[in-house]
Amino acid sequence: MENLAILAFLFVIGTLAIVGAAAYLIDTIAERHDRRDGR
Amino acid sequence: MDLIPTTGPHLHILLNHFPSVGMVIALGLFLASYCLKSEDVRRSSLVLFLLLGLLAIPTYISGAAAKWAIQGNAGISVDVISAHQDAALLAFIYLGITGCLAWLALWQERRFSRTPNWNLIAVLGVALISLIQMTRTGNIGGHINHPELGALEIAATQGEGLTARVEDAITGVIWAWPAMEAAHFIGMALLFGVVLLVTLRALGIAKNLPFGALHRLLPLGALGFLVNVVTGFFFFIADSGRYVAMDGFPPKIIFMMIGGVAIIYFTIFDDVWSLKAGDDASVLTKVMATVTILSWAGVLIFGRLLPYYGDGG
Repeated sequence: MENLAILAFLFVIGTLAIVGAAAYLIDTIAERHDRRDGR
Repeated sequence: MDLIPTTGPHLHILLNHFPSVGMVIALGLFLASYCLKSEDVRRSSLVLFLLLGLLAIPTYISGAAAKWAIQGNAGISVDVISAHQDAALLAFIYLGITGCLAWLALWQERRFSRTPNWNLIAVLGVALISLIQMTRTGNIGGHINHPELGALEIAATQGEGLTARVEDAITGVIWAWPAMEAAHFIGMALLFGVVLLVTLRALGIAKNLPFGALHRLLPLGALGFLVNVVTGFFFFIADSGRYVAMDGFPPKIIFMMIGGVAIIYFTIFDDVWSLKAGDDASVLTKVMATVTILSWAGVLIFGRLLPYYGDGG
């Protein structure tokens, strides 16, 4: 049962990490463009 | 009435032509946009790529429904059906990636006034792979119930094809289903959260926010949608026979298509992009916001009702 919880937790954290990294990357580029465009 | 499909096989026969024929048209528009030097034509092709990516969802699902309806019939080869389903899964993945890249290109063009070349090259490359894979899928699929085409040499997979292996991985690993359920709920929260922020601003809440600030959050919602399509498809592949029998499943998918198309409006249309701090949105924008909220609420409601509604119970 402990293994089930740990593996499920790691899967969800891994998914969140991938989504978070992609969102951060896209947003960083957007931030750079917004600053350049004065938004 | 026969004109309106009411069964999985009928719907699949209707839907399965759109992604492949549509891809030829979208690729033609995409390439023509460079000859014509027209950004409008290129934008149209990207919208079409995105729509085809969305359409891949009901096409694959109706294909599974058709499989459950006809397998076991005389003259129907299970091996050909399995090969068709495996090819369709790959086509669905490539088409989905094409749709994601096309949406990102549209978002980038709106936000940065241009789309980076790497993304346009990627869209073209994956779209071509999708077309090849869809042609292969269609060719195998045509042999399922058309003896006049002649025999097709298909190796018997004996339950070890791509779809069967994915199914085994999900049902055989005890933590896979609950972990993906958790990821599915997080994806839903991301998607619906962003949908609410964007649409409520359009409806007049927090009017001091310019729409451009909320537009920057759209990729987060798109990533939530992507997580849910991936996890949702794992659930579907693992238990497709039960899902296609559920009365709540078609409405969920229909609402998802409407909600997906409505998101295009908030990604690229001038009406909504030009909303500055304090501006009131146009009537069209408010209608689209209402349709978008109701559609995604419909997806959530019918998704949650799946185990309780109709044959799902």
